Formats: sequence, structure tokens, C-alpha cells
Amino acid sequence: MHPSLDQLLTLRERVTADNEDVAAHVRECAACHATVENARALAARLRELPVHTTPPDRWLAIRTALLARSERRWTAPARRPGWILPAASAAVVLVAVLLTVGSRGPQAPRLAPEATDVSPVGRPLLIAESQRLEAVLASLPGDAQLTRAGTALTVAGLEDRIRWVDYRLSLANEAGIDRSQADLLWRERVDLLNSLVAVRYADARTRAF
Amino acid sequence: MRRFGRLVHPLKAMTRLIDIEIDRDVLVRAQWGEPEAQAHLYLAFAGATYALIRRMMPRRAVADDLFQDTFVEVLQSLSRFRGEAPLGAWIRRVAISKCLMHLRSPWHRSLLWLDQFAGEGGDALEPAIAPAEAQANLSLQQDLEAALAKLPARTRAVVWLHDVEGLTHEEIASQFGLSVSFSKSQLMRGHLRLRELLQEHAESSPCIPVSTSF
Repeated sequence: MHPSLDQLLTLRERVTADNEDVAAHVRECAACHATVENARALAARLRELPVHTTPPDRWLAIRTALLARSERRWTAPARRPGWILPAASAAVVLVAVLLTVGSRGPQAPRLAPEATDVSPVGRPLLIAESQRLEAVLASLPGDAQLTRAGTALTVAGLEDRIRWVDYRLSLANEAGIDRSQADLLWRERVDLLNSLVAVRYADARTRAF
Repeated sequence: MRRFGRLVHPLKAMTRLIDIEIDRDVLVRAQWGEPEAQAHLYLAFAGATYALIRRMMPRRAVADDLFQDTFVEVLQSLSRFRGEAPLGAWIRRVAISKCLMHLRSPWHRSLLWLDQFAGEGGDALEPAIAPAEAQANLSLQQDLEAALAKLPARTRAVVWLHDVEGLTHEEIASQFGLSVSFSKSQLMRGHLRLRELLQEHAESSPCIPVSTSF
């Protein structure tokens, strides 16, 4: 009895212990051998089909849509509930307390110097510091493991502000933002990342207790 | 000020999304929203992404919209990409997801209904290359293009994802939110139907006269 087409298509990809009997049949049966070879040839022909040309000027449309979406996001009226500010304030107080109490738990990540200490700071240093802080964030437990709703809100708020800075940086060329303004945005990004690292680190430490 | 309004993708032959590599520095800068890095990323992935979407969605206007949606979403959520899999695999997932969402939409069903009156496939049979670029095997390619376009959308998607993009049945099932058996049966149906359509076309083709010098 001939194997099913499904079995032959699977055999076309690989021979395993499960389909060794099918492979043995195909070696002996000209019809099944032809089916497997035809299926292989068909796949090869599909891969050789020419590529449709990417629609022209689509990048401009994509860029415009991207900017429009970001703009809507930042100009839309806030829909957050009324308890967000008290909760965020409580979270900030909690973080401050946690940062000053105790010394157990994971090693504190090195935070960037205060903005007042680094003036004037070149953009390469700010970018390097951003990268370092991103790496620190990546090494901390993920957002999904945050222990408190207030902390989660604080983190969400900081991440939103970082995205807003990123959006403004992405517009730097189009908007004609000069170098000093761009440097200020990079400094703001570093400050926000510092805050985010502090909050995430404090949360990680509460779980280490 | 540099503009990217007329970017043209350099790919000429079929390249799978998953095989495209991008410099890590470019990726990081694109994640931070640098327009030049984003444009570089677009240049690297646009051709293969469009090729995939176009094969799943032969109707060009639909494919163009889905292509744009895909890249807007990719660039917008790039900061969430953690590099655990190749970027091409991530972009492919977004593109496939967009296509499948469209296939499930009432808009797609209404287009299918309209196609009954407008002739099979609508603009589905538009060749991928211009006549001027035609090659010796153009006829064979057009037969296959035509046969592929005649497959039901989900069957065509499974055949393309499996045989060209190299997705496993498990991966296809996961993207469709259906079982592995679904993927296997669609692949089988697709191969049977393609074989029938190609055979029909071969039988209906006119005879080519033998060279007079014979």
C-alpha cells in the first residue's frame, strides 16, 4: 500500500526513525518516488519565483504614519483614573524609603552622576551612559514581575517619558533641532533611565529580602 | 537634510527574512528612533517582507497596505525587541500576523465575493516582473504564479510559509492559532491543487511548432 501524500511530503523534508519505512517504500516504488521528487521540485520552483518590487516611496508613507501615530499618542487626552497620582506618589515615597534602608540584596547598579556634575557632557558620553543603563535594566527582572501596582505605574510613567524623549530625538532632523537641544534630550534620557533603574532595582531588592 | 523618500530595495532574488542579518549598532540606533538607522533597517528587510506579504495577499493594494502597517508596527515596537531570535523572524511574525488578521476580516470576505463577478483572482495574476525583465523560463514561472494565485488564501499561505519561508507545521499552526493537522492538511491540499492546475495548463497550452530547419 502506498504511503499518504502527507507522509511523502514529510519524507521530502527529512528521513527520521519515524518514517524510515516510508523511505524504504519510496526507494522501491517509482510512483511514490516521483511524487516526492515532484514535491521537491515544486518547492524549489516556488523559491525561484521572482520577487515583487517593493512599492516606491513607501518609506515616506511609513515614516509619516509612524510620526502621526506617535503624535496622537502624546496629544490624546489622558484616560488614566483619578487614583494614579496618589498611587504614583506613594510609590515614589516607597522607593525612597527602600533605597535608604538596609544593605542586603543585589549589588546596587552604578548610577550616572547627577546632571549638574557632568556639565558640560558630550553626546557620546550620554549615549554610552544610556547604553550602560539599558544594559543594567536588561539585567534586572522583567516588568511582569513587579510586586506593587504603584511601582508598575511609576515604571510605566518613566517608560512613557523615555519613549517621548525618543520620539523627539527621532524628529531631530526633520524639526531642525540643533546640537545643544539634542544633547539636552540625551541628558534627559539618561536622567529618566537612572530613575527607572532606581525604581526597578528597589523593587528587585524587596523581593530579595 | 537627508530624505528617504525614494528608497529602492537592493534585493533581486528571493531572500528569506530569517536569513537577513543586520548590524547590531544599526539595530540599537533604530530602537532609539534614529531615522537613518530605521531607514537602513527598512532597506534591509523591506524586499523580503513585501515578497512574503505579496505571496500571501496577491491583491496588490491590500499587500501594499499590509506592508505599510507591518513596518509601522515593527518600528513602533522595536524597543521591545530583545534579540532572542533573529530580527527577520520577528518581522516575519508581525507580517504574517497582519496578513492573517486581514484574511479573517469581513473586508477580505467582501473582496472574495466581489471577485466572483470581476473574474478569478482580481489583480492576482499580475506578474512579479515586468515583461522587459522576462527570462527564458517566464512562461513556467507565470504558470506557477497563476496556479498559486488560484489557491484559497489560507492554503496558499501555508504552502508559502512551509515550502519557501521554511516554517515548521508547529510554527504555522501557532501563527494561525490552529492545530498541526490543519497545517499538514492545507499543505497537502495545496500541493494537490497546484499539481492539478499546472497539469491543466500544460495540457491546454498550444503546440510549439518544430523548427523548420529540422
